[in-house]
Amino acid sequence: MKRKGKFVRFFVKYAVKTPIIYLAIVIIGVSAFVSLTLTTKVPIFETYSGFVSYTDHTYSIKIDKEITGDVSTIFLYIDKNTATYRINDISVNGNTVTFTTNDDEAIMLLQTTSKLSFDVQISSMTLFRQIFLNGGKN
Amino acid sequence: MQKSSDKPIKLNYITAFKYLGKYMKGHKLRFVAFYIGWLLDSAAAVIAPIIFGMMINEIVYYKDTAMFMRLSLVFVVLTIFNCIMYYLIYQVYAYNWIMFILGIKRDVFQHMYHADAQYMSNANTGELINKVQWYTSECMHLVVRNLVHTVNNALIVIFCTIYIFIISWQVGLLMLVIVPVAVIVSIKFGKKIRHYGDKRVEYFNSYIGWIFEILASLRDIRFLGAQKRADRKFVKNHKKLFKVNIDSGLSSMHAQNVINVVNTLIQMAIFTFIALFAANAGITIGLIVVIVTYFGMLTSNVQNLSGSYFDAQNRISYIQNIYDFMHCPTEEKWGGKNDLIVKDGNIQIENIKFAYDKGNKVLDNLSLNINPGDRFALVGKSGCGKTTLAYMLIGFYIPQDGTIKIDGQDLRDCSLKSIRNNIGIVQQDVLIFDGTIKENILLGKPNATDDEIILACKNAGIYNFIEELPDGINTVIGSNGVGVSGGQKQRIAIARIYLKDPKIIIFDEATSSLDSETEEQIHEAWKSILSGRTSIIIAHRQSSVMLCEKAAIIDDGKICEIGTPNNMVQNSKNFKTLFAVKESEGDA
Repeated sequence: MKRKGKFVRFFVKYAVKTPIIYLAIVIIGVSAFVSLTLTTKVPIFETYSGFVSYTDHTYSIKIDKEITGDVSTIFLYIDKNTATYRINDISVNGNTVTFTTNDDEAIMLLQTTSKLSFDVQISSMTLFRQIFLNGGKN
Repeated sequence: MQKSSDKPIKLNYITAFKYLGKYMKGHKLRFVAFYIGWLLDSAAAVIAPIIFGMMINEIVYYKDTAMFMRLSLVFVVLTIFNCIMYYLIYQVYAYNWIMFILGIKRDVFQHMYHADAQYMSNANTGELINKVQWYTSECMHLVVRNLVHTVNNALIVIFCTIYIFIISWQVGLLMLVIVPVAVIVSIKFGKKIRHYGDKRVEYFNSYIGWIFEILASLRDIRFLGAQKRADRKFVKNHKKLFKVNIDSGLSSMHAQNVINVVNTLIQMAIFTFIALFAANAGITIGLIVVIVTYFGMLTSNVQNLSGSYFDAQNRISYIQNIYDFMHCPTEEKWGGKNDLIVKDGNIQIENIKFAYDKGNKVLDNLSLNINPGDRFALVGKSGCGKTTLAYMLIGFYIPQDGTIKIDGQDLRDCSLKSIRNNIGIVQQDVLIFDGTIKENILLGKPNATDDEIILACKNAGIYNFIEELPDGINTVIGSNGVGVSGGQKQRIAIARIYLKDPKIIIFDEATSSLDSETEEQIHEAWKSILSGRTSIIIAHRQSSVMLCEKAAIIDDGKICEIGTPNNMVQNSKNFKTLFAVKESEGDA
């Protein structure tokens, strides 16, 4: 009981009356959030569109601009809000992206249309930047 | 303490905060901490949908569970931090509430003592209680709900609008329609609501004042069989209050409804627009979630802003009531600074004029000379101005014309403190508060020793009674202790005067409510206290007048007769008429 009273007095004095603990928690909380968002890297995607062709069990998509950097994965789609398909182990050669896939649904998509789009992770940025400068928009 | 010299103004949003600002000064750090807390809460409310939208995009489009979990962790940290902040904010809020309001309450309470006596005599008890107890709370509500939350709501509205404009200027434009509508409606209805707020305060004060009068005279109401009349008045008062509440509520509701209708139309337009946008793959699901959430936040915050504006109008009425009271005339206008030094106790009253209201003269060219050490009786019909004159002697009222001199010093040149130290007054209703006899008697001289108190009690003839009590002078009296009779209260008042030891004493109908036997005992106590002092005895009983060396009859605001009581009993027609009527009333 005595201990409880002591704690209450301590709490009122340092967390409420002179809000030292209060401000300390604010600082700790804000710092934790900021450091967490600064250390979290979120991927930045860029969307490309092109025409697909199929030769020798390999699909090729010819796009109108070059992909820069090392790319190994793309997310293929016609309508992004309907379905996207992850394709790994792609190779980029200038304006052409080539890959093979065993994903039946992706194959069906590739056979349905000649024009399609894909998202490529081109870089990453901190979550902090993504929230406060980009507003979550890619 | 508020200076009454500041000119009172009709408060508005800004001046009301300015007025409350001085009470916030002592609690600056806590108010800043409190605001930071709410600001962070608002920031978290704005950030959370963005993170949530990103989580949706990561899992729906890229099936990136690791990133989803990582973002979830940030979301959880944000939520936990928010919960802790909430807890702390409310602790600081509760503490601030008590301390901030206490400051205002104390100021109002202290002002009651400094307020001009004439102003206070017109104030009703209920209104004063409302001011101290209820209206002060509205000050905190105004600061928290109408300042802190309003600023945060406005910041959220600005942020959401900018964000949506960045994502889609078309959606942003649509959303912005709600803001001017809300502003126009708020201003239009705000004035009306303020008017109703002022009326409500006026009716409520008069109603509470009436309730207090009724409670004080419950016995009379029963005795006179006036229950039905009182009941009718009760219902009438409530009807008035209901009407003004309903009018105010309806205005507020009309305004909110107009905003709601416009809001719903805009909402429908925005949803249609977003659906089209999404169908053309121009927008991700995550962003739709953010836009819809922000639109919800925007509309609810705009509604809060307009609601807060309406509430503020009512609250400002309450604060205006406090503000006006704090700017009422005070005793500062008295102006006298010299110390009143009473050696002999000669009182010279010359051509005094006084009226409470214009055309309602109470004292009209009244002149009187009371010799040092005299026991002087002032008699006259009820309302003839005896008590008014007594109150002038202790500086409660200021004569509108004429002078009062004590030992040659003009009372207006002397400080109120020195006047009240030199002139003691014993009234019919003696203040007895819950506490020990000693504490009650110490009001006369706070640093008196126990021996001095006991001597004062002996001289006042109450010591025999005190001796019989288990704790003597430390016995608790009042509503939570031993009950004391009217006679005993009078003796306590005399003991106080003994300790205070003023050179001039006024007894204002002090024994009017006592029976003849008790009055006789009190007169015995008077005799010892009155020796060597100038005293004015305002009496409605002949027995009290007969104790005096001189008596004056006041009629129509003037002294109409003056002489020795023995002489008057035999020769004064006025005296005989006055006391024949009084005595027969007393016997009945």
